[in-house]
Amino acid sequence: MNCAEVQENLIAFLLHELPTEEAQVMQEHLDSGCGDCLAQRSILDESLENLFSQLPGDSISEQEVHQIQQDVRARIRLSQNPADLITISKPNWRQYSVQLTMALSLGIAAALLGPWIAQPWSHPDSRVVHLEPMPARAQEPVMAFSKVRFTSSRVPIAAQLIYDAFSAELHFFSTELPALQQGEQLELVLVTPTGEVVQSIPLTHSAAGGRAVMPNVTTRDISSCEFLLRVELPDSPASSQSSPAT
Amino acid sequence: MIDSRDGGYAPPPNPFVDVTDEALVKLVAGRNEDALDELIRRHAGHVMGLCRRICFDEHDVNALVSDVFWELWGRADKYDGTRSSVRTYLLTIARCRAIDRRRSATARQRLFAAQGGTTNYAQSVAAPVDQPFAQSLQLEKAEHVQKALEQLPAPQQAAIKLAFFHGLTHEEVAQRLQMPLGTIKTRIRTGLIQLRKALAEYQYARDF
Repeated sequence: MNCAEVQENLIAFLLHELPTEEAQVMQEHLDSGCGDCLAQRSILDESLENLFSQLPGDSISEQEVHQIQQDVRARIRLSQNPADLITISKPNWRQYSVQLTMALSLGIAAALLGPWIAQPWSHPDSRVVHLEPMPARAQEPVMAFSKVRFTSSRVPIAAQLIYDAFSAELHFFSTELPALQQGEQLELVLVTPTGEVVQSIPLTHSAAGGRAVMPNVTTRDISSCEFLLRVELPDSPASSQSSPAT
Repeated sequence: MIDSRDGGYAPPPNPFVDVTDEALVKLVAGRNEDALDELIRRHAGHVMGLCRRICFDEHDVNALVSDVFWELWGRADKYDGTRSSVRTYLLTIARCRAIDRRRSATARQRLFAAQGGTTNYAQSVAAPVDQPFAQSLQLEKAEHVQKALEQLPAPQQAAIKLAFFHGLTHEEVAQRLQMPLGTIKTRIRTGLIQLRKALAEYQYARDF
């Protein structure tokens, strides 16, 4: 890369817009002590400083600052002790110990009584929704992990969610999933408290159960959002969240 | 500590009040979490402001601010105080991460729809409330930067504003202005050099 090319790309380099390899070449050129390019860089550094100083800041409450500080400290703790990867969920396991015991009991009961339950995963009318977010009141969580709550129309799901803060991935494992009909797709959905779908990914569905890895999940997602399962119908995907299960 | 006057919690005195940003980053490089907390307290508002300009999803913005300071924790030892201020360093990271996030989200259309108006950035500069002198200097400087920007030729001005105040990448600026990428790069670079020259003249005039 010659000086003209370096200087043309200097701003993109300073703003971290260049691909890694190209940025490395730029860095090597600058490290070599090229006077013209370093002088140009100094000028641009100064201009960037002036421009960024123009950007207004948002007013931010002490509570928001505290929340950010806590988020970052939680990440630091996780990075310092990889064995605590599921630290976020640990208190919740204790908190939901009663529910977990119930989930286990119900799971065993479901396995024993399964043959006597007619079409347990089918909605009686439309088979639109097999699973839904548990309402805030009146229902007991069948399975709980942090703020993840699963319930279904008739049968509990034995599922496990593990959040990896390093890779920002949420891993979903389940050995029991509803039997799907032709063309149907089961999805894991991340939903905000206001009901907005942040992202959804299809589950890998086999006889062994379901697997999914949802990328780009933040610690804030874990603490504030819910994860749902839904069935995406081949003909009318928009209706897949509509009907409540019975 | 309980403050009997209002019944609330009175936080302990801040030990970092007189510590510069650069010194705090050095402490962060030495794994001082309290120093990182102080940097968050000082700069989270600006980082959040920039993230909001680029990425309109509030959920994304909150996560991004944490991401930026988490990244600072990981690379504080690479910070070069002779190149830029800590705030600029953080805003550079924030801009980059927010663009990444916006690319992966479906917020692009909202970006163009919502950023139609113009903003007088000099009027909306935020400054530390407890530093009135610094605040006045910053405002004064901001006005001069604003004036210097306005004196640039319109094509350079447009490219710079889109790149820095609206958080578009060079490629996105080129698409938006329907110009070749090379032309946009040249315009931004030339504009920044002229900007620096104009501000140096202002500084000279102010000092003498």
